[in-house]
Amino acid sequence: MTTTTCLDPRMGALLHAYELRGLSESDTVAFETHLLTCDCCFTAVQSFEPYAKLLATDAAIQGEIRGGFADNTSLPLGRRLGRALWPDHVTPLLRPAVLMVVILLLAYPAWRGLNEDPGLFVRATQKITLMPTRSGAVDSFTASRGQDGIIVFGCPGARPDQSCHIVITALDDARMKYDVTVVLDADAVGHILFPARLMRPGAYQLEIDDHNAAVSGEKQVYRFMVHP
Amino acid sequence: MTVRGFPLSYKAEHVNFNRELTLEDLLTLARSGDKAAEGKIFERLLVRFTLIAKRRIDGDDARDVAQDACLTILEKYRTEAPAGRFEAWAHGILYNKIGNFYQRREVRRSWHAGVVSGDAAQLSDPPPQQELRRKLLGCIRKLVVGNRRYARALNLMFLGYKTNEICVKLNIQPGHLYVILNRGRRLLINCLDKEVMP
Repeated sequence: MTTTTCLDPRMGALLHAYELRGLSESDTVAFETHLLTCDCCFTAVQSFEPYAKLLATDAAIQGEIRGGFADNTSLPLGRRLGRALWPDHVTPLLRPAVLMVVILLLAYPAWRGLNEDPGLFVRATQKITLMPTRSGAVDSFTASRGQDGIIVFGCPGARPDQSCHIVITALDDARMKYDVTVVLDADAVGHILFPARLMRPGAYQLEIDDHNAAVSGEKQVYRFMVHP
Repeated sequence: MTVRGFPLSYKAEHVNFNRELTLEDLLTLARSGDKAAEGKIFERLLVRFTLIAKRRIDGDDARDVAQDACLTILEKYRTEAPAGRFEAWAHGILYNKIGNFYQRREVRRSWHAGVVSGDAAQLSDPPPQQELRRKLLGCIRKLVVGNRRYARALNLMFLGYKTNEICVKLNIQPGHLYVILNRGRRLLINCLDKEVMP
């Protein structure tokens, strides 16, 4: 019967280094002393000895190993690529293949975000401010591609927190009409979202429909231009 | 008079009869006069000494040196072996015998310069076993691609570096190097077992 486990695992760890004749003199003596008592290591060394001798002496085998570290341009492209992406001497987490997977995992959500329905995600907006002026000049804005517009408008004479019905129409396209009810803020200023899909270059009119115009009794109307 | 082959003088509680006797057990028995135990020590040491000697001396000389060392040990172990350090003492005797062998060989060479060629012929390796070599070469080819760290450590060993120098070169701890080597060895043995004979 032979012992199947090493009596001293600390010494047993030196097994293959001993077989390859790579131990220092003191370690060799220590391991050989261990061999006298440990059946497990002795059996292992005895069974591997023919191969160990060949490994230590055979020039062709040593050349094969040495060749593995020489210029590998003769290897097929797939194997060279594999070696480049998965080199053994690099810490596993830093291997190019692993890094590429990590980068792809991080980049995929960003790529999806760019291609998904714009309504699902927060997007940049542009601000269109409409305030009453004495001159009646028409405000003009540049329509940034794909950006919703936040229209900020003042309502002279309106009460804070009052609700208003707003109608936006395109002056050169009778089909385009966008109406929405908003609640004015504490300063009697309203904010509405003008969707990018409706905002094409051209002239627009914003009409505050049911505004309680205590002063003039007329509807407040703003006109603005959107340039390409 | 003995019971189960052990002398009565020996305290039976020192030996667990259900397991194989260790070298220490055998030594205790042999010191108390058990010839069978002494024979077992001789057998056990001879096979191990031969293996160790063959790494340093080629051919039948290794067996002779191992036998010589065993005889010396059997002559002296009762009186000279230090308690608790028998293995180290025995290994020292083997090393001395190997050293003596090389000294004698040098003397012989200087006496008979013409015989050196004959000695050299005797000491040269036996023709390599082609089948073993073919299998090993095939597995090494696979390992070089599949386990670069093992191949790298092997390469450095073949270039003459010792383990501590390899650790410095690869910037790893000795324990890590031994793990790499033993893992590579296991893969190598698995591969050698799978290799089909033609």
